[in-house]
Amino acid sequence: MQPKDLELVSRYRDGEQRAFELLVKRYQRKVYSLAYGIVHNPEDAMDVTQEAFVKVHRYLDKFQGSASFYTWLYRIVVNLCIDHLRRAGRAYSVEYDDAIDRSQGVLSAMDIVPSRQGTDPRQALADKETLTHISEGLAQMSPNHRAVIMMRELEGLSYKEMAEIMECSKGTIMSRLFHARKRLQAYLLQVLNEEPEESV
Amino acid sequence: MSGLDDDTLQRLYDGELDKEEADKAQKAVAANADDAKRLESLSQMRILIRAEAEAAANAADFEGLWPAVAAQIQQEPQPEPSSAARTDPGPDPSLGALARFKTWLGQSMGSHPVRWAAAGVCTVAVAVVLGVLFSSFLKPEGIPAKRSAAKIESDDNVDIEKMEFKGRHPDIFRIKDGKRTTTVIWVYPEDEDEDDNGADAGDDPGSTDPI
Repeated sequence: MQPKDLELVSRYRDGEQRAFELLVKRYQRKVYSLAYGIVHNPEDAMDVTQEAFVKVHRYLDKFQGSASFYTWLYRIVVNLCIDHLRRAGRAYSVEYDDAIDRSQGVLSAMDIVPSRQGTDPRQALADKETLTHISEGLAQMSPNHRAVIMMRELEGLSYKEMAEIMECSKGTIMSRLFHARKRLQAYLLQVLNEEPEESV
Repeated sequence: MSGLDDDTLQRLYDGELDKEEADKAQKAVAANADDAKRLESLSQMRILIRAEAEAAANAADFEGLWPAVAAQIQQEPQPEPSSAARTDPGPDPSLGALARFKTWLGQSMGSHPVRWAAAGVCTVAVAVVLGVLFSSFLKPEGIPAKRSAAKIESDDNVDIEKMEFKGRHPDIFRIKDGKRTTTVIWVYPEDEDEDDNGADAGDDPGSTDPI
């Protein structure tokens, strides 16, 4: 049975160096995926991942254990990603107003999976070209919107957990998530409709 | 035609509705093909986002990560909280606001004792200056340093006194009615005129009517 995060933290504090390595290896893939989802560059994502674990190590004494370890870790990752984009001048200054009236648009009832691509929609979803479109669509969002959609869709974090990580209200999280999804949908609708149909 | 609003649909999809709300929303979705399709769209997007992240993670090389982290940890200088500002994860986010403030205050004071001491001295100095200034404002100028009253008439039921009160001469009537005494202060019109001509309005007892 795998030791729990807090147990590893405790063991590391007690002087067991290997416990921290286990924590890094447990979360490296998740942290990288989240970082990649936000910074959208493999090298930058790996840099952020490495920096995140160094920071975790540096501030581990401050971690009091009343929040989950991953919530604390993801907060570091998200902040690092946003700082990284800011330093690189790639942070989008234009952001949807998070308090905007959502009645302006609704989440669409759309078919993302092009019907032309075969019989198995799950197979079609893995299509390389479709993934490229997803990547492009995500890249067009603001870092905050990317962070929220990645935390929700990849890690399944709750609104409350995301609100803690991003230090904002649950309402803001809901609004960011709504806008992120709507924007991605709109982008996919646009690019998928532009593509020529393949013959079946 | 959509039945569910976006908020409810999104919260249903994200599992953020309570059981009663979720049951109700599920029934609404079952009865509305468009809502079912909107949910399916969200589901498809999730699959795509995960697939894209999975592909990116598969392409990454994690072999070198831990050695790089370990090497950097070895070289780490002593933590400098002041340089940690933005990415410092700060206190445990699940703590209450007061506890988080106390933690921050404790850390901040520990990091900048000189700055905090200087701020404290400045605060005390400002408080002293403000105190002196406000004390002059709050000084009750309207109350004369000297008041005098002379009893001019008296009988069993009424005492009448003439009073000098900052250049005015109101009459004070004390009317006894058994155990009770009613006091009436009467200000004469000429006193009012003085007032209109520049006397301090703050001292005006009110009107020529009995108070």
